Amino acid sequence: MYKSFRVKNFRCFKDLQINDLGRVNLIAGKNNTGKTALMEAMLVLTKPLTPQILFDLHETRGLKDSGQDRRDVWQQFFFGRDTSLDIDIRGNDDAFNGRIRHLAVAEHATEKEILEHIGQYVQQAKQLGLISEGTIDIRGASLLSFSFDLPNSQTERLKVYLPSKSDMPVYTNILFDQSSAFIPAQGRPSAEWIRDNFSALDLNGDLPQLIDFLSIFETRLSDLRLLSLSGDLTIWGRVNSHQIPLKMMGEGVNRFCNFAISMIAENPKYLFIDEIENGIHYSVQKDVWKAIGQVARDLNIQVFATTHSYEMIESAHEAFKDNDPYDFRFHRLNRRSDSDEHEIEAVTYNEAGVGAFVRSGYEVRG
Amino acid sequence: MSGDRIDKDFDRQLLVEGFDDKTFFDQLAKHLSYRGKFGIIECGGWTQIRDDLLNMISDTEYFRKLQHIAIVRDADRNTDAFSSVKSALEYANREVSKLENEGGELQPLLEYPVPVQHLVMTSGSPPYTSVMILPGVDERGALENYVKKALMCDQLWSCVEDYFNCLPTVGISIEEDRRAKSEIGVFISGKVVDPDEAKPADTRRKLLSDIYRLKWWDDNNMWDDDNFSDATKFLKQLVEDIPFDAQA
Repeated sequence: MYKSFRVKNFRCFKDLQINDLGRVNLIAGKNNTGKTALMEAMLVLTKPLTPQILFDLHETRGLKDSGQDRRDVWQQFFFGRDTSLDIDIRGNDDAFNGRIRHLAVAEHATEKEILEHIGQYVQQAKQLGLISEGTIDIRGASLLSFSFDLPNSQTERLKVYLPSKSDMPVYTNILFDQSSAFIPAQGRPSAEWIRDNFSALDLNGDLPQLIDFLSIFETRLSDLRLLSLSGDLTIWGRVNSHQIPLKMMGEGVNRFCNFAISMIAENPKYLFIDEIENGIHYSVQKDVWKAIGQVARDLNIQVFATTHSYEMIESAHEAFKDNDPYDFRFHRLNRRSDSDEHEIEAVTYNEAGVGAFVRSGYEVRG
Repeated sequence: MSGDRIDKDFDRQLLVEGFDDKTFFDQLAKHLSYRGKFGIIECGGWTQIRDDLLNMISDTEYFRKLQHIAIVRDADRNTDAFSSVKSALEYANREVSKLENEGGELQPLLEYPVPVQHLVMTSGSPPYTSVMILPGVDERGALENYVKKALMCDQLWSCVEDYFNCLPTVGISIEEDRRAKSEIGVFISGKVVDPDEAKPADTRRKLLSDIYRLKWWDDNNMWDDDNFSDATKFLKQLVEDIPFDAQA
């Protein structure tokens, strides 16, 4: 579980620091203050030597990769698209031998830099059998390096490279990956994702737990099944004596179903949910938070979610205030009007802070 | 909601507990031509003042714009109310978000300066803070007791005292905490010449707040009464940043 987090030169963040992270974290702020970007940075740190993650995130934003030059995509992850400054991401993870998990991402675009690093890149690609001797042409290309501090060493770092040319192979090292899941604000998971995870959940005997969760929305729900009708693989629920496709029960039920499946079946160490309030009526928000909090504690998952909804903050406080310890934190991202670059800063509200604004109705959404 | 209570257009704010306090300082500000130069936040009680102090410092964008925050608290039965306000400021500094400094230590993102003396604003850089305890720093009571001091010079007050001294002889007892408020109520009834003058302007209007509407109040230049000099200097300090102890 991350206790604190710091990110430099990533997306809209020049230097953002968040301390006092909780088990469940809700992030709010005005538009374009980096709520989603903060979760992206955290996600990148969970896959420190998997360059492909940048392209997955690019796609999650609804953007297409031209497939020509990878640099077009990776530039967008640098603060002000300025690739001369390294991206630096650090997380104080209590599961990481009490050390800081540290990733540095740097672009090597000059000929001198390329020559300095190309040897390592070629060696990595050869080790994987991705290329053979003499088949690589780096002219006009640039490299993006991902350097990750080894957990058991104070000085050693592991590096992988992402070349800009799309026909050049990418080396990935998943040895230091942490399991994580990202649920975007819009869109539904693929049929394959639902099939695999629902089946795993069913096989492990966890279906009753999922039914319990979804009962928050539909108290009459008694059973869930994965059915393939006319080639369409869908979850169906039994409500009274009728079988109803889950898709018919509304956006909120389906999104929450995805959160729950992800938490129980995928059991990620970190779960990121963008715009958690989407489709969730205020009357069930407290129960949704209670359910998320309970599973997060039981399965040791750290949850991060973004919101624009005051009611979500209020209901989270109501859901968590009786829990000892109070393991909810609210983080507000502000764009500083007193700095030249309108830097973004994070303000963290602990139990006292969240309680104070909920009692007084003070405007904290940003 | 704070959208109604806190006007963030002001870079100077006066935090008070209740409606009577708000009315008193608003009317005094009107007399001093200070209206529109600071906001008055009616917090709704002492606990809420603590909450609002934490809310304001957590609202970093607004906090950085603030020049001066003045806090008015009723002493009530508390003989060390000034220390309790200092504790509230320290509490906000303790609970506010922290940042790691170069040495790896966590420090508050922003801090309230804590005044060392009743009525006297902090020195250094903005935002300044200042505290006024009513009716006085070592006294018990509230705003009513403070206003009462000015009324006691009026010859009508001896009649009010006689009346309240008579009450126990007919078996009526008034709680000590309520006495000043009740005395002012009786005093007002003796000053009302025109019955229409006593009609509440709105349902929130309370007894003490009615007194400033009386013709008698203006005729006797009550705002210039020496007993209100602390409050006057306190507002001048808030609006003009002239330290309390530097004013004549």
